[in-house]
Amino acid sequence: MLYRKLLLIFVGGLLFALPVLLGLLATWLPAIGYLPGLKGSEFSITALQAVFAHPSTYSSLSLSVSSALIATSAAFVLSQWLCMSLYKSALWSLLKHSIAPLLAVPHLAFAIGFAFLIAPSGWLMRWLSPALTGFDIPPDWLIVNDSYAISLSVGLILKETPFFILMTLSALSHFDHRKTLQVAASLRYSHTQAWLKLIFPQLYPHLRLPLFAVLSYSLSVVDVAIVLGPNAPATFAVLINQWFNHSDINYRFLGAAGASVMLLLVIALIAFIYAAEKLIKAQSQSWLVVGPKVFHKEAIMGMLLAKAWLCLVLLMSFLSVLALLVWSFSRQWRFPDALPSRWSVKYWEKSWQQLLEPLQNTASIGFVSAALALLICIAILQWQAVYKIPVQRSWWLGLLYLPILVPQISFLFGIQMLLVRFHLEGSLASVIWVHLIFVLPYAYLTLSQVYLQFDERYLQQATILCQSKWRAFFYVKLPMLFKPLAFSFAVAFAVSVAQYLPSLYVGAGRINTVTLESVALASGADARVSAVFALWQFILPLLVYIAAIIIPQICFKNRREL
Amino acid sequence: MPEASNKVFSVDKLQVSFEQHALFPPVSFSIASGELLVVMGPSGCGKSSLLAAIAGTLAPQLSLAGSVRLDGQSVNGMPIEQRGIGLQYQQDLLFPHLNVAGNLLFALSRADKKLRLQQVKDALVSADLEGFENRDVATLSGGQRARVSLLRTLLAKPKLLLLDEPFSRLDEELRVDFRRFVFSSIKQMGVPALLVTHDRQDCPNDVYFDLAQAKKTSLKP
Repeated sequence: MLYRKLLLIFVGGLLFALPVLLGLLATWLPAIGYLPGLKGSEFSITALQAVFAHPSTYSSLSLSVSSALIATSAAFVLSQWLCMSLYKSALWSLLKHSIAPLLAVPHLAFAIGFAFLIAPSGWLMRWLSPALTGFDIPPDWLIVNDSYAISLSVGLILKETPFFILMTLSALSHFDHRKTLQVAASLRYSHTQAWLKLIFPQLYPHLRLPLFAVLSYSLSVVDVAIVLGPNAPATFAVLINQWFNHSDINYRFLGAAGASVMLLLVIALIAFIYAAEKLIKAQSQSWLVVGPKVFHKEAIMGMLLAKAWLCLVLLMSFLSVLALLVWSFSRQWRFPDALPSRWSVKYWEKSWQQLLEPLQNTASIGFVSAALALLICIAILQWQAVYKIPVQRSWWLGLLYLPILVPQISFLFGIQMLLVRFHLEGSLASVIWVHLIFVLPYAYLTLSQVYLQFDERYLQQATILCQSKWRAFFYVKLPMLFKPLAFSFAVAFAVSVAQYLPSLYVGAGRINTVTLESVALASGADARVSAVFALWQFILPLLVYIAAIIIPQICFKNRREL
Repeated sequence: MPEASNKVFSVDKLQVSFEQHALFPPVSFSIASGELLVVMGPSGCGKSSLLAAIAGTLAPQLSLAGSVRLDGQSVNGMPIEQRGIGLQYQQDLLFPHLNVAGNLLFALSRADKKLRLQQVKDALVSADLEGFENRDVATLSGGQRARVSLLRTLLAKPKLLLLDEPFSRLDEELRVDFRRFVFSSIKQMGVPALLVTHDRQDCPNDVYFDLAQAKKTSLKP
């Protein structure tokens, strides 16, 4: 048993942790001066000092920290409040079913659409003008790219709230919440008290890692921050990215040092939240069992407010995607008009030439990395299933989450340097490999619960009947798991399409993807072309999701259980 | 002799229906304090729905006819929080993030801290679980968990105790012990109790209420 556990740690470590650790190491060395390729052969802390001496650093850092903390905590609190207030109410099934489509929209496509929505010359302003605002020309306000990173924070909140809701719904399935709430009600607790004292404490352990992941993402995201975030000074991650892409090659040392500081920042904030959790837990022990408050009528206002907020979140997200569609089909659109005066498919046609290569690259990278990830996950999970190795151990989950928790910018430079050393950068294969690092955890997380709940006795019966383990596996287990496998593939594909920094650094300018093009266009080009590219970033994973739903239905037309 | 008037629980022509289709014929019975009524019937005949109708946890698709009276008051339409009815399920539903004392304190109303802790201590002693206050509920055996769960339900001083197949998760020997514990607790607390089961051995005396026929029946042939 111990030997198998160790083997699992080893395999997991190799697949999930090793690339991250190698990349980190290869970033730390230049941060302290060691980079043979650029004549850095002595250890020194000049780069680290230079980071803090740089004029933008402190403002960038404070922008990153404030936007990340505000976005993450607001999204978390909002998601918990929505789940608590709308539990089993009329909108509960709306909540559950709207999550999947919301999550399917890639962060970047959403950010670009959101920018179109809220900009001074954006859709909201066009609807409200001139009737409610009196504007005949777009006002000279700085909404998108505002200097307090408010647009960035709001955009992140809108995107992370559905993610937290999904994690909460999944966490709820781990215990009997219905009966727990009934017992609490019979003990005279109101719904809110019961939720706060009984449900939330049982949910939080499952929400911890997602919370850390969102915090890390909000701190270190680059593509969304370029589109929505402030420009000068930019958030810290964008600043580091600028250093990495600076024409003066000595700025790479600064970048590596900055990336290391970013890692420390993420660790510090995660530690802060963990400490806060322990503190709150200790302080609330007596409150948890102090007894029910004298029963009074549950505030109807609270439920109405929650319904309103849910509708607002759904509406803003839906409108952002719709904005992309409207812009991409517009030909002439003068300011205060609510809709374009002339429509055309011109920009779709015009962009096609430019899109061909990125689309091919994105699709092939996505397919191959998703397929590879799925194969690897099936291998690991099958091995776990056969030897009955428990999966919910926190160290195993922590290992899996490592590529998601460690900020990309803190180790991708190291990976790039390692690949350059072996002349492997700029090839499709290396980009696929880097994408695989990030796709694997998501593929595993979406597949593991269903895969491990599979009743192995089906496989045993099949093995006895056809006298071959492999035949039993391919003809019985895989078809029975086709739907979850297809879904996992779709998620893995979507994760690959959304990757920005990996394609940017490892592609070395030779591999162009739809995401890379979208970011480049978002900061300047014609909004209509930008919209087309952003929509393609969404269409690709959408097609795969649809296929993942339809293909199993066609294959198993007459099989209700599948 | 059962005590008269206010501690009595009664049900009059109670019927639960799903889309015009009744799950069982209209039932009427009453229970005095300290008395236990066992309701039996084949699987799927609506035993749990009967309990849900009385507790107030009926699923929205089901509809209720008839009246339920507890302590001289009609509880139809009252929210669960106000009914004062204790629920004991098959699963012990002990809250994993609280220790044994925490689970029991949860059921007690707000009062002086020392008083509440004393009540918890006395309850644990009565169930042969002295000193278990700070134990993690995950470390308790099945029988211990069942006892803590019942203690929790009873500490809230319910006016009526509903038990939904409370013994079915325990193995045979535990079942005998726990059964004895449940019956003696009900007698001691003087609370009317309604127990739903499909196991004949759960009847303390030889009379039970047959749900499919809506009348009291004897176990004797």
